[in-house]
Amino acid sequence: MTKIVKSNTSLDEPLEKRELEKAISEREKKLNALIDEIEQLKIDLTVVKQEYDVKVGRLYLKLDEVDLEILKFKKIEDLISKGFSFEEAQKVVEETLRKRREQIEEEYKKLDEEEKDIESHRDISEEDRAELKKLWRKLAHKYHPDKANGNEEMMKKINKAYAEGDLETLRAIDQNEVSADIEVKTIEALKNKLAGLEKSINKISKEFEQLKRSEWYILKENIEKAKKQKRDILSELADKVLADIAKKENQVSGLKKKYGQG
Amino acid sequence: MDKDKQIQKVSKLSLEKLSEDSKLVKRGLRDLNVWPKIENIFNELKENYQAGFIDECIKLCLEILNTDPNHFFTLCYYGRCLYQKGEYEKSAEYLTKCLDEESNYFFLWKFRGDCYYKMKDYEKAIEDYKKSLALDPTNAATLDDIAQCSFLLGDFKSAYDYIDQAIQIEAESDMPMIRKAQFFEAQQQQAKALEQYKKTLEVFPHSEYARNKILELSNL
Repeated sequence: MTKIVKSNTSLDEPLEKRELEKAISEREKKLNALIDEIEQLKIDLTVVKQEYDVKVGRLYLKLDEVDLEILKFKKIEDLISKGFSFEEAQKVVEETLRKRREQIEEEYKKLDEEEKDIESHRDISEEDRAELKKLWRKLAHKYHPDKANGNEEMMKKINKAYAEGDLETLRAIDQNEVSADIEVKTIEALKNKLAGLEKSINKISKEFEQLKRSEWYILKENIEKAKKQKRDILSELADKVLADIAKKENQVSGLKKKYGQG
Repeated sequence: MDKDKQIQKVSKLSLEKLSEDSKLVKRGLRDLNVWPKIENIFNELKENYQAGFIDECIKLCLEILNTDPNHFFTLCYYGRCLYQKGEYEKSAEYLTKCLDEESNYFFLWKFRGDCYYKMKDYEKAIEDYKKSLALDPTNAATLDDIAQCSFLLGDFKSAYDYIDQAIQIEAESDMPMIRKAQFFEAQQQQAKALEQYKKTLEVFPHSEYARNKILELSNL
C-alpha cells in the first residue's frame, strides 16, 4: 500500500511561510532588545569607568609615585651601607627604577587621554546628544554584526562616530543607506534566516554574561548597592587612598630631610 | 587633584578597552573588600606552592601581577613556577627582573642558576651559583650544583673540590656523597665509585640508592 506523504503543496506553503515569518519577527525583536540592552550596559560601564578613573584611578597612580619615592630611598640606604656615596647611589637607583617610572607615566597618559575624551563631549548640546543616540540606535539595529545583514566594519564606523559625538557622519550613513531588503522568500531562505537569528541571540547573550562578570560590572553593582544605603563608595575609596598618600608623603619628606634634600 | 570633577555621561562603547584597563579597578575592588586582598592571594599562593600545585600557583601569580605587576615576591614565585613547568628561558627572564630589584637573596641567584643549568649554559649557571654561595656560604646544595656544572664543563679538579666541601658541610643528606661516587662512575673509575658508595652507606645506613649501587657494582 502506498503511504500518503504530506508534501509541500501549494496550499501548505503559505501557512509554513507565515509561521516562519512570525518566528523570525519575534526573534528579530528579541535580538534588537538584547542589542539595546548590551549596548546600554556598555554605556553604563563606561560611565562607571570614567567616574572611577577620574575620582580614584589617578589617586592610585599618585600613591604609586610616592611608593616609588620611598623605595628609591630604601635602595639608596642599602647602597650607602655598601659604601656608595649618596650621589652615586642615587644615580644607580634612578636607573633601576626608570622602568617603573615609565609604567606610571604610561598609565597617567591613558587617564589623560580619557579625560580629553570626556572634555571633547562637553560641547555637544542635549538635543544633539539625543539625536546622536537615536541615530546610533537605528543604525546599530541595522548594521550590528550579529544581525543577518550586519556589517562589522560599518558598525565600527558607527560606534566611532558615536563615541566622538560625530553627528554628521551618522547622518550621512543614515541618508546613504540603501534598502537591500528585497529578499527571495523561499522556505529554505526563511529557515536559514531563523537559524542565523538564533545563533546571533546565543552569541550576544554569551557576550552579555561575560560583561556581567567583568570587574567594572561588579564595581557598578557595588556602587549601586551602596547608594541605596546612602553611601558613596567611590568618594570613600578616594578618601582612603588620599589618606594613604598623605601618610606616605610624610614619610618621604622625612627621608628627604635625612638626606638633606628637603 | 580634581577628584570631584564633573563626569559627562558619554560612552566610548569599547568592551575591549574596558577589559584591558582592569588593573586600576581591581585595586579599588580589593580596597573596597569586594575582591580578595593581595596579601590573601599571596598567602594562598604560598600554601599552594608548598603543596606542589604549580598550575594553581601560576594562576594566583597572574592574578596578583595583574593588579601589581611589581609585586616582588610574587615575581620570585612566578619565576620559580615557570622553571618547574619547564619554561626555563621565561623563568630566567622573570628571575632577572627580581635580581635587578634585589640582589641580596641567595635563592634568587640559585634559582636563576638552575634555569641556566637546564638550558645547558653551565658557565652562566656557575656564575650565578657562586653569587648565591657568596650570600649563603654553607649551602651544600649550591656547592653540589657548582660541582656538577664544573664536572660537565670538564673541570674535574674543581668538581671534586666543590663536592668535597659539600660533603664536609652536609650532615643530613646522602646526596653530595652519592654525587662524588657518580663522578667516579662517569669517569669509569668503578673501584673508586664502589668505595665511595660504601662510605656513603656507612655514614647514611638508610641510603637505599647507595645500597643498590653497591650491589650493582659488586656484580660487575
